[in-house]
Amino acid sequence: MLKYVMLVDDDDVTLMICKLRLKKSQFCEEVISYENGSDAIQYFEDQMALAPEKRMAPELIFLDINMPVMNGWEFIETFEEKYQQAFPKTKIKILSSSVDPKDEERANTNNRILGFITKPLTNDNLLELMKTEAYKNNFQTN
Amino acid sequence: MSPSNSETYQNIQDALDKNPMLKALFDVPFAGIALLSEDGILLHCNHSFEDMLGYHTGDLVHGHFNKFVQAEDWAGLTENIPSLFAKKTTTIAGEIGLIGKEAHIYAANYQAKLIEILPEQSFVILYFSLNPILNQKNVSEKSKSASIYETIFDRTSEAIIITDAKSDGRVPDIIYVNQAFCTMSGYEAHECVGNQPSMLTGTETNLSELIRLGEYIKKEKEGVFELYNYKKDGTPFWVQFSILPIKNDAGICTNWVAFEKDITQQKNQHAQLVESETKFRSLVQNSAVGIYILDNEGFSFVNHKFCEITGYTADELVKIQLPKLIFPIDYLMVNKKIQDSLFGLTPTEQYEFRAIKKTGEVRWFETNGSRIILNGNPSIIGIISDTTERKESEEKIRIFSQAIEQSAASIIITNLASEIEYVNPAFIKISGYQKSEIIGQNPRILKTEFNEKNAHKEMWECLERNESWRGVFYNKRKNGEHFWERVVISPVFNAAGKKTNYVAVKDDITQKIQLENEKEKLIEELTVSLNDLKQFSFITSHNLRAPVTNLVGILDLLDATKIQDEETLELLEGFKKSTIKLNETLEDLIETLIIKSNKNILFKEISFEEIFTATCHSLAKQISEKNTKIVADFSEAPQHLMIKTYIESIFQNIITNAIKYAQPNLAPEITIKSYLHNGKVVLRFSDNGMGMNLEKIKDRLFGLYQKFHNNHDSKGIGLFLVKSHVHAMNGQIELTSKINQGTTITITFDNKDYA
Repeated sequence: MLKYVMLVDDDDVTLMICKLRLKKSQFCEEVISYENGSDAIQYFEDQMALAPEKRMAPELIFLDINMPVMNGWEFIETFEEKYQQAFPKTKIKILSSSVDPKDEERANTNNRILGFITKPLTNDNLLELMKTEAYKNNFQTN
Repeated sequence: MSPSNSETYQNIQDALDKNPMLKALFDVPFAGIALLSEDGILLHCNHSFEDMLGYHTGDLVHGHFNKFVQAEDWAGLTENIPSLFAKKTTTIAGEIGLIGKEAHIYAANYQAKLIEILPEQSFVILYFSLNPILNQKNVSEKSKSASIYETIFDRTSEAIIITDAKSDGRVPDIIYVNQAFCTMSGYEAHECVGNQPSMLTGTETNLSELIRLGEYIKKEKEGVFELYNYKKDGTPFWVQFSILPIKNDAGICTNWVAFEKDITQQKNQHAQLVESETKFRSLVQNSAVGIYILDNEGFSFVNHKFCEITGYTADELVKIQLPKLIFPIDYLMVNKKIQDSLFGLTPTEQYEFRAIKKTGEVRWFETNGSRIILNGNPSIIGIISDTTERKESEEKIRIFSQAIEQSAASIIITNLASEIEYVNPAFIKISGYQKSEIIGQNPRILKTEFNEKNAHKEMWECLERNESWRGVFYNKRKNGEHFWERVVISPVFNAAGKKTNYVAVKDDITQKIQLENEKEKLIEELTVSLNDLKQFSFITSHNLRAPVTNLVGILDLLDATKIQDEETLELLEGFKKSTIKLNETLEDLIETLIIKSNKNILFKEISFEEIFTATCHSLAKQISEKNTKIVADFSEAPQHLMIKTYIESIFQNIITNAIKYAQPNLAPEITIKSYLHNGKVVLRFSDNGMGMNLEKIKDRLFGLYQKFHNNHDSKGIGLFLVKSHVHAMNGQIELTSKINQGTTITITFDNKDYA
């Protein structure tokens, strides 16, 4: 079970469902959620103000693509630019209802991104994710 | 025994008349000659002798010669005559006093010889020449005689030169010229005397004739010559002259006399005649048309051109039989025309006929002949030409002009100054101008201000380069209405390659342009609509998708075991089914949209076997449930360039359909085979399912949301997706089916290299 997972999605019902699902599937201990990319960036900005040992680094971010204010890709760019070094272990999983196949292609070109899940987030999805090599390498080595 | 003197006299006259040589001998103009019989009777004398003695011609008739000789000289003359007859001597010579008219005495030298004028009758011939020295002494009498000669010579219109004679044939010196000679040559007499006759020759004098003259002089022969000589003032002139040697009694040439005549005019006339004859001949021979002279016997003359157009030589044509030359069908006509013409029945006539060349080729000839009388024979002199090409081109022109007249395109021909020379009826119809209004005008009267700026400049540049120009003009008709024309303007060249005209061929494309404009506008509108629609679809599906996925998520989280109320449970079940259905439909729609808007997804070499195995794996449950039997053979064409997700979808959908629409009491059997046909990879799926009535559904077969079975889980999207996928891979799909007999789907892949 992961300790700390972040959800970024502009749809509050989706956020509610995801939280419930993560809890029911016992995927993680704690969930933090934001309704757009820039709020999520603000979280990291706030964490940077703390001493490194006090910082709360999410192990995994479920990130939607189509969002107002700052979309998923812009979030990833900003994150990589500013916070990557401070949060080296934070991985991203795209969770989207995007119908654009280019988004899936793009997700596969970045190491930080563990892949692409088409909504909704279900128990099966989570089980599958946990079986992937990427998940095992990143979260179960120690 | 001897004939009477009068008889002899007559015989001598006859002999002289018959023998011109002899007569010429007697006619020497200044040696006095007398012919005596053996007994001293004067039988004949020449004019010179008469002149010498002061008589008129014909004054002296025969009589005894002693009355002309001083008595003291007579014995001297006669005593030696017998020795001539006895052939002891050939010549006797001496000085003698001659008694002339009115008893004048002339001192003369004489030579006497025997001459046989009549057969077996010899006579004495006496040559007299006046002794200048003795006569000088005796001036009163002799000078009178000399002046008589001069008077005579000077009165004759014939030019006369007398020269001495040189023994070795050298050019003699002039001792006398008469007045006529001076007039002819422009020299004074004293300028000539002591000179040589060659004083008249010059640079262009004909040398060969001079040489011939020299030969004659050497041989002391008389002859006639023509020389190109020069007058004193340098004017050249042609002179014809005869020379005569004058010999003394000893047969030695003492003098030459030449009678000369200016023949320049004659000569020139002749030269002109020859020249004009030559010119005429060359004109006829080298004429560009055939020329012939024909009489009843055939051709008597043909020129080079005639030979050329018939292929025969002149010799062959002169001998040719007309039927050989004239095409059989035309022969009677031609022959009649020739006969009529020869008989003078028809005047000059022009006609055409076919001729057979020597090569056997048949050509059209045209001839025009007129009747002439040549050497007493009626003949035809005519010209002839090969008109085959002209006839052919006339025919061509006829066809072309018909084509131009009837053409639906308007055609304008202008000269190089852009003045209209011709317009066809289509032009009149399209432009609204009458022929009379437009001929001579410049085509720019059709011009409007709306043409592309450089169109006319470009056109002229093109034409200057002798190239055709193509373009579109926006012109106006006579009534001011505008119209579009597609124009091709070309320069026209004559046979010599010189540009003579411009021809414009123009199509009225106004309607076409309008249609095209409308079409373009429509396409533009449609493109905008389509893009809007696409955008709309994306937005709709995305916006719909978010709440639907939420519904699916909620259903996933709902724990039905916690619900006690039966009715709620039932409602929840309905809610669940509808949600799943909604989600699936949405998924299908999205997938369709993705295929439509993403044509350039990567092609890879993909194995059919691999795709088939994966499909069977994912459909394992359905396959086993219905005892489905699948036979697959990909050995003939194991792989092809394809898009993986699409071919997966194709296998998935077709196999799913085959299982779904199996006959109720029959286990489904599916046969899948790939093979090559006409070099293309073909994939064929056959089943033994329910089949369809294709007659009924035809057009809707591959349509979206078309359902052909009342099967509960049929959505009607399967075949539509298959078709979309096949088309996205540039393939073709065909379906054959019969009710209760099954369905066969054949997919033919394109050979294109997508790498």
